[in-house]
Amino acid sequence: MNGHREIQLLLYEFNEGTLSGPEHQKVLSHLRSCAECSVELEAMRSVLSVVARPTTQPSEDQSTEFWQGFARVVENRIREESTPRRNVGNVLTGVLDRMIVRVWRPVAASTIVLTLALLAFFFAQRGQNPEKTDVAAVPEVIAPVAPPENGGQVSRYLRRSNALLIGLTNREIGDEEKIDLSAERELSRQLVREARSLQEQPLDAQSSQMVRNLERVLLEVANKNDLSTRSDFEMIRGGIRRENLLFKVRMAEQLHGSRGSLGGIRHAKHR
Amino acid sequence: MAAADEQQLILRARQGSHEAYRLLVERHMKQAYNVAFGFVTDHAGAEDIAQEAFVRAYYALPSFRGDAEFGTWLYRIVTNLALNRIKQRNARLEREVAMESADALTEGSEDPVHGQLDLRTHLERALHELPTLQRAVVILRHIEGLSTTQVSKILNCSEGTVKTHLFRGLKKMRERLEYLKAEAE
Repeated sequence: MNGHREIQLLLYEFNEGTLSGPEHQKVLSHLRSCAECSVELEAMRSVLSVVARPTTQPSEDQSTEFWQGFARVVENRIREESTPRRNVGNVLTGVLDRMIVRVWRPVAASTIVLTLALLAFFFAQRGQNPEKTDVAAVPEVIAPVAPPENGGQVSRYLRRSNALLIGLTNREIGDEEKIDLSAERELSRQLVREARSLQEQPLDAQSSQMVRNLERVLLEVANKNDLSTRSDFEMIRGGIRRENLLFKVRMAEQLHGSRGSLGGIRHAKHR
Repeated sequence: MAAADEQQLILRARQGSHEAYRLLVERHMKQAYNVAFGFVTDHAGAEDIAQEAFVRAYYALPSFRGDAEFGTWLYRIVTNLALNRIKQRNARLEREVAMESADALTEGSEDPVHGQLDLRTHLERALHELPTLQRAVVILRHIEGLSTTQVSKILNCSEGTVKTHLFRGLKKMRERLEYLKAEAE
C-alpha cells in the first residue's frame, strides 16, 4: 500500500515529465503492473486537462503603462510609510523633545536647590523661634517629593498607551469595510482600568491631565464592537490627531523618563 | 550572472539605494502579481497584494539572509498576504451573506449563451473550496508552474508535503468537479 502512495505522489511530475531518469523508470514499471495507480494517473490527467496552466498570464492583461508605473507606486508607498519618521512634524518633535530636556533639567535642578534653600531657611527660623513657627505659615512652594511610588506604573501606562496610539494611527485598512479592533479594544479596556487605578492615587497635575486626555480616546476604543466600521475607525484616528495625542504622550514619556514622573514633583498640599 | 547581479541589487537596496530596489521590483513584479492573482482572481486585489508585498519586503530586507532566492522569499510574502486577504474576505462574506442558497449561486453563474454552468466558475469554486495549504500548492505548483523545491521554500514545508498536498488537492478538485457536473446534468 505504501508503494502505491509513494508512486501516486510522483504522478504529477511523471505526467509533467520532470522526474529524474531512475524515478521515471520506477513509476513507469509500477504503472505497467498496477491498475489502481494507472487509474489515478488517468484521473489526474482528466483534471489537469481542465485545470490547465493558463497560456496567458494575468499580468499580460495589464498595459505597459501599468507596469511602468508599478515600481513608482511601490516607491511612493515606501516613501509614504517612511514619512512619519522624517517629516517636519517629527523633526520638530525631536528638536522640541531635546529642548524640553535641556530646559527642564536646569529648571528642575534650580527648583530643588531653591526648595532646599527654603527648607533650610524654614528650619533655621524654627530653630530660632520654635513657639512661633506654624507649618501653615510656610509659604506655598513646590516641594520635592521622593520618587513617587506610582512612577513605574505611570511610565508603563504611557508606554502602552503610546504603542496603542501608534498602532491605531499607522494601521493600514486597505479596502476593508469592517476593521477588526478586538485586540485594540482589549488593550484599551486594560488601560482604562489602569487609568482609573492611577487616578485614585496622588498624581501631579500634568500626569493627571494626560491620563484624562488619554482616557477619552481609550474609552472610545474600549466601547467599540470587535469589528468597527471604516468611518468609526477614522473618527478614532481623527480624535488622536485632533488632540495631538501622539505628540503629547511622547512628550510626557520623555519628561517622565528624564524626571522620574510626569511632574517628578507634586504641588505640596497643606492640610 | 543574474543571481550575482541580484545579490548586488539586494546589497545596494539594503544600503538604502531606491534605484536598486526599483530594479528588483521591476524584475519580480509580474510574477508577484501573477501569484497574487492566482489566489484572489481579481486584478485590483492582485495589484494591491503585489505592491504591499514589495513594501513589506523592503522593510524586511535587513532580515533577508539570502538562504533562499529573493523571488522565493518575496512570493512567500505574497502568498501570506493573499491567504490573509482570502481569510478576511471569507470571514466577511460569512458574516454579511449569512446564507446564500446554492440555487441562487447556480443561477448566477449560468452561461447565458450555452445555458450551462460556466466551467471557469466551477473550477474557481472547486479550487477555492480546497483547504488553504492544498489550494496554495495547487496554485503555486500547477497554475504558476513553480518547482516543488520553490513551493516548499515559499510555504516553509518539505517537498514531500508539497507533493502530498498537490496530489490530494487535485483529487479533491476532481471529485468536486464531477459532483458539480453530475448536479448540472
